[in-house]
Amino acid sequence: MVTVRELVERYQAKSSLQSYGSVYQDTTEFMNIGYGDVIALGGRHYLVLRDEAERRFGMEDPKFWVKRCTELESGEKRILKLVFHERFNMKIGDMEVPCYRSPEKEARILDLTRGDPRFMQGFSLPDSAGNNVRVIEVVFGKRLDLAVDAIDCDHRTYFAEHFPGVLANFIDACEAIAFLHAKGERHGDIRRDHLFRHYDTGRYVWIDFDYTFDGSANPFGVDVFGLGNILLFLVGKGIHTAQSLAETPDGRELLSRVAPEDYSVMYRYRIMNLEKLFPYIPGPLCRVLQHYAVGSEVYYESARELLDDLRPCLDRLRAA
Amino acid sequence: MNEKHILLAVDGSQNSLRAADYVGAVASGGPGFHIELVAVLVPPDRDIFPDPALYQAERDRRARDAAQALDTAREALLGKGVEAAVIGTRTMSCLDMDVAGTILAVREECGCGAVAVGRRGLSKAEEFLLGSISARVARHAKDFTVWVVG
Repeated sequence: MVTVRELVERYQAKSSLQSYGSVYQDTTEFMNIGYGDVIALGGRHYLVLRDEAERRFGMEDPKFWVKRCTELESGEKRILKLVFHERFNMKIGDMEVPCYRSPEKEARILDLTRGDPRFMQGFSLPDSAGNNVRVIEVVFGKRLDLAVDAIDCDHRTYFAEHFPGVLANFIDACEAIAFLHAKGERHGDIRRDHLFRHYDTGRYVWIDFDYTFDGSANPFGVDVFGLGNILLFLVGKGIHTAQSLAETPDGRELLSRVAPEDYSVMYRYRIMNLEKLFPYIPGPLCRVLQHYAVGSEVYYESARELLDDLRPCLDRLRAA
Repeated sequence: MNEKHILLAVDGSQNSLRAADYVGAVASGGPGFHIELVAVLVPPDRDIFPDPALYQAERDRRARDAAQALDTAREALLGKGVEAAVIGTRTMSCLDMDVAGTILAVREECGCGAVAVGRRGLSKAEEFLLGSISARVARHAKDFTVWVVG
């Protein structure tokens, strides 16, 4: 019978491990599980390489309950998300929305979306203490915002040559969210860094479904808001703010045309009415973004409503 | 549809009490009115209350609050001179996580000619993110009147 140490040595050169750690079947004390330890789960063994971290605003925020691992039986890289029930306030503009981290919700969505390339793939298993551990396949791709940011051209060229393809893929990603909503589920944390562009297929892939929140009057509002934020970034090839425009003489000229109602309803410094900055953006697409602006009287209630307005925009861009 | 049949949706808030006062003042003025008092019971999210005992406790608390909201609104209507015989009450479980949709479904079933709701006075940002039940009811209204009482 192969020992765990032999399994470790199959995929990890002896010299690369400073020491052999412990084998954990109970992941309750996830803070104690680190580099060199092995998590035994469902007859498989996962060598822990490091804790995952989110990098936002130049800061690294370690996620001690998320372990980057090698599955020793296959050599494949996996991410193990251990149970961490957390309640916190998500700050959106000036508002704070109580949020919750739910392993059960994420496990449910992994089941619901199995085989669907629009979502990260994985499964969940209980550890020996009954903790719901999610075993996630690493998405082979690049964050969409970084991919768009890396397109080296001016906005007009980007909009004419690259944006129609970007929008087609984004509509596909919105369809994925509409699918979740139709099943009574929410993504819960739609942000630019939670949407990846797959290296091989070019398709957009959603990750991280463990956030949830109490939203009975508008159950999908936070998701719909997140989609609008990403769309704004994709249309503008970045976020354009009063502050960023004020940095240059041309920007200040543009800024003089921006009215108070052109800013985001949630972030009062973000310009939603991109028509004022890029007059070649078709009106119907600008009007979609303006549903997220201070001046709007009607907001989208669902991803489906957003899609109904976005699809004709793509048709128009392709016909142009 | 009967124009004198009014659905009054209540949640125990001051705003829904103001709506009850308004409906009471209207309905006490003449014969033929019927008021269907409705409280929508929104079950807690199981993901937020993973502990079954806490989930049940929260569910029970919400059920008590809904019953209390109905009682308070009924008292307000009686206080305005509405006869007890013309007041119906019901607690509805929220359908498809949609409070406004549930109110509209009850209205259709009852054939009420008017729906009265209180308005919370949300900011634009709050309305976008949290949702406004009164705005959603008004937005989806067809062939009946919506009274939004602020």
